[in-house]
Amino acid sequence: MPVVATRDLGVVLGRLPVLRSISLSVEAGQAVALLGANGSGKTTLVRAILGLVPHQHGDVELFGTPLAQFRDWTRVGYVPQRASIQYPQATVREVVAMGRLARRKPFRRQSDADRQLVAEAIAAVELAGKENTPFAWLSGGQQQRALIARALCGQAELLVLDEPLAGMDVRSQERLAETLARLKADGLTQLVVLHETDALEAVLDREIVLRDGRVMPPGTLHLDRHHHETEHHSHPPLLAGTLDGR
Amino acid sequence: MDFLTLAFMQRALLAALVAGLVSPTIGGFIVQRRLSLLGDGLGHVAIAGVGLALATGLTPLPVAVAVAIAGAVAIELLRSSGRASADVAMAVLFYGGLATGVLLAGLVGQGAGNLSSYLFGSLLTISTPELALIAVLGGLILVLALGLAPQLFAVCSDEDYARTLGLPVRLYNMLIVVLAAVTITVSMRTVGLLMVSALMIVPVATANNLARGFSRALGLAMGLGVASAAAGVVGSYYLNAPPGSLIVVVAIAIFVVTLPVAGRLRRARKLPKTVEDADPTPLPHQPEAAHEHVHGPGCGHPALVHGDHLDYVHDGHRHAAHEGHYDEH
Repeated sequence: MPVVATRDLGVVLGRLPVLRSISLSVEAGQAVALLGANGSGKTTLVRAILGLVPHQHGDVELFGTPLAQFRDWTRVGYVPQRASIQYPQATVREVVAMGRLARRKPFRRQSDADRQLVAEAIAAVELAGKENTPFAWLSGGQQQRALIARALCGQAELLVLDEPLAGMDVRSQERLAETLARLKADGLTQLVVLHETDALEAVLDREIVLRDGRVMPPGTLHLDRHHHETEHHSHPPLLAGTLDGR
Repeated sequence: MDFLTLAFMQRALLAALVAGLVSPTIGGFIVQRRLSLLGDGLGHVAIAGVGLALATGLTPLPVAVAVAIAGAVAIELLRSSGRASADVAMAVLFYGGLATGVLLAGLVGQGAGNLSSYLFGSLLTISTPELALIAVLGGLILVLALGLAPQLFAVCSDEDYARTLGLPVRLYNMLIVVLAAVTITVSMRTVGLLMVSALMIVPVATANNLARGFSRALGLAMGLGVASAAAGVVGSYYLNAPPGSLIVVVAIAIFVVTLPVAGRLRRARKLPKTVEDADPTPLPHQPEAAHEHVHGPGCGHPALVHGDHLDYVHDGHRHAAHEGHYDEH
């Protein structure tokens, strides 16, 4: 049973078809990259998979359950784009502890087990010692790791990361790649929206390339991956011209 | 403290303490959600309720609660519709509430005089049944807001993420505006409908400047709200001033007085910026020519964290100390 599966998925935003006939699946334990140029629909695709954007066509299944019936949100850990969120006050611990809310009941205090899992998740992303630091003070790479810790402390089985490398220097990218590699070794399934795969090459099993809201046939990735070296090559660069294609 | 033997002063103090405690609690979530002016708008809507009560001879507080809740539901439905026209529709609703209230009160000859005790507060005339209702509503708000604090915080700070936690986001969004509406009517007699928003927002703004962490700031804001309310009521007795406005002035005075402290805290916390190298290979050695100035903390040149050392920005260059001289970095 695939962890994520879409069949003939179509999303229309406004009147613009943003995703067309997307069929894909991510198996348990896999780390899959979702690649594509700006506007290719990759962020919309993960948002549709998570039910944050309604789809007009086709089906989405999470852990074998149709999205509309899916209630097991503890199994999903969403790591949104760092730039899109602001926590002016909250400390790292408070941000990470949000991840427990999928399991915590309303009107219940945080249990010792909750606290323990939050501490473990913070340690797993090497932020121990920063628990009481406001999230807003962290560097970009540290913020990204804190958001991953938040997804981890809910004991998710699937991590969905939206552009985790955006705005990060090379060293932070390497550290993040190490963290993700460790999580993969622990059996976590990962779906990662990316601009380029270079920094995560060692982690990824497979890439899905989107262009203009459609999945490109497999095997086209290598063109993209070595895009810079092969620009003068006879292959047409597949990701170019996306905007013209609209 | 002889005034505490006066029954009306006791009621005034109790009502003010409830308002001072409850208002910043909801205010903390409203500010996190970037809806600081929501309270002001809801206050305008509640005026319609007061006007309606004055016109029909009903008790103002329960009618104001009902109308404010209805207004809150309308606002939330408009907001979540995401339409561009929602912003204008909300403005129409706010001023519609204000105008309706003034009109209804005026039509039955109650005029602005009676209405003004709800616009600017009238702590000293609170009756015992009114105080009882204020206390019950205040208690209800506290139980819901504090019992659901983690959930409400998650929804207020990042709706999408809250949805992927499986939280009933729409329900919680609605709950926040409804709680805000009830808070406004609870504080209505204390500071008046035109100033309720101040008691919701100002202590939160002060606490956010001083405390680290959402829950600590929320706790501090509640303390500051209670302190402002108590100081306002007691002060009004000695100054023979209206308590509602004094409470707001005290809250704002605390905000202003603590600004320098907040500034110092912020500066102390501010870490030097970090220079991020795109290329991890070491820089070629490029020593700086004769350099009289010695860089150090507080030398006047901004410091940057660069790997394992500090660079100082000097005339557009970055100087890094190296064996008795400075390198260009």
